[in-house]
Amino acid sequence: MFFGKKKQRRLSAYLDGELTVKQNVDFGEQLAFDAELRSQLADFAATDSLVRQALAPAHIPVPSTSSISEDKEIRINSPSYRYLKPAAFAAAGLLVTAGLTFASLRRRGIVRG
Amino acid sequence: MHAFFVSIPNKSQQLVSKPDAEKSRESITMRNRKFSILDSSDSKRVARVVKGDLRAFDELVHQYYGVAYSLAYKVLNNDDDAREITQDAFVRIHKAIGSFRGDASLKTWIMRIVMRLSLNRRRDRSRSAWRRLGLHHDEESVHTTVPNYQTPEAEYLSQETRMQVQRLIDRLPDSLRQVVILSSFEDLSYDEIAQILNLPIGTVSSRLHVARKKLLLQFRKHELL
Repeated sequence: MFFGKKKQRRLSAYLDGELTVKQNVDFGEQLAFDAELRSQLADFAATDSLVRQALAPAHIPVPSTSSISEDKEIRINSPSYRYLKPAAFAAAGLLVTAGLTFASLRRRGIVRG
Repeated sequence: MHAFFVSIPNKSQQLVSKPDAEKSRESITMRNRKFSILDSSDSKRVARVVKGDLRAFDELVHQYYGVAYSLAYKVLNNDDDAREITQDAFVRIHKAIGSFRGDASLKTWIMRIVMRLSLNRRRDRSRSAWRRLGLHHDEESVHTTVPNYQTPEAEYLSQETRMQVQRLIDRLPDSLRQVVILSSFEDLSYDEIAQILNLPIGTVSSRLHVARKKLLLQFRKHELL
């Protein structure tokens, strides 16, 4: 069942499609004449298949981009919110200034309300 | 998620002289015949996200959510945790995308972030008092999920076999388990796994081989193969 270390690693690399074209052809030739090597390749392939099936999530949820986009940090960074913030500050500042001016004018009796 | 791979060589590879072309063809592995380059639509999208284009970010999320969720799920084996980690990962990706240099593929970069977050969560979870007391419920939450897209791989295995295989994978040392998890993504090459885990390619190759041998022995011992 167990071969030389190099051959072993090459077996894994062959299964993973990680050999160069030339190595792949050479290893394919070895496989054709070596039943034990073919058997181990089949065992590794079966192991991989079991691992893939067991690890695969039963369901992949549909990405809820809205929930990600609703994240505070992302919203703050978005252009619309970036410009909204100074605008809100400016509006509040104007309101306060107008209120103070009106109160001051009213105290002096210039304006009656 | 396959947008990074094109089946034709890029320009620089077409322009090399014949002997060089022979050499480079020989060095191309069977899996990497799908050249892993940064797709121009991805680099444009990254540029749009950096400028604050939320629609571009939405497109990016839609393209990579599946692979990110799958990776988180495979590490954590829990739907709720996987969703949370995926969400967290995309928030971080949005914040850090300006620092993405494009020397690795966008998918590899995203998977690296998801992997790191998932491993942190796994470590925190294993430290939690619930787990120490054996009162955790990892597998149950899978069944509470509303099915959105049933993966074909998951259909064939009985729940019992599935859990048994997961337990055996879980018993592998961290270094081997991480490589096994990433290699279960069929379109990831050794090079990409090495980039995600920040390891030399040779280490990925040898760890994967050792993990396969260990798993094969365990699967036989438990009559799963």
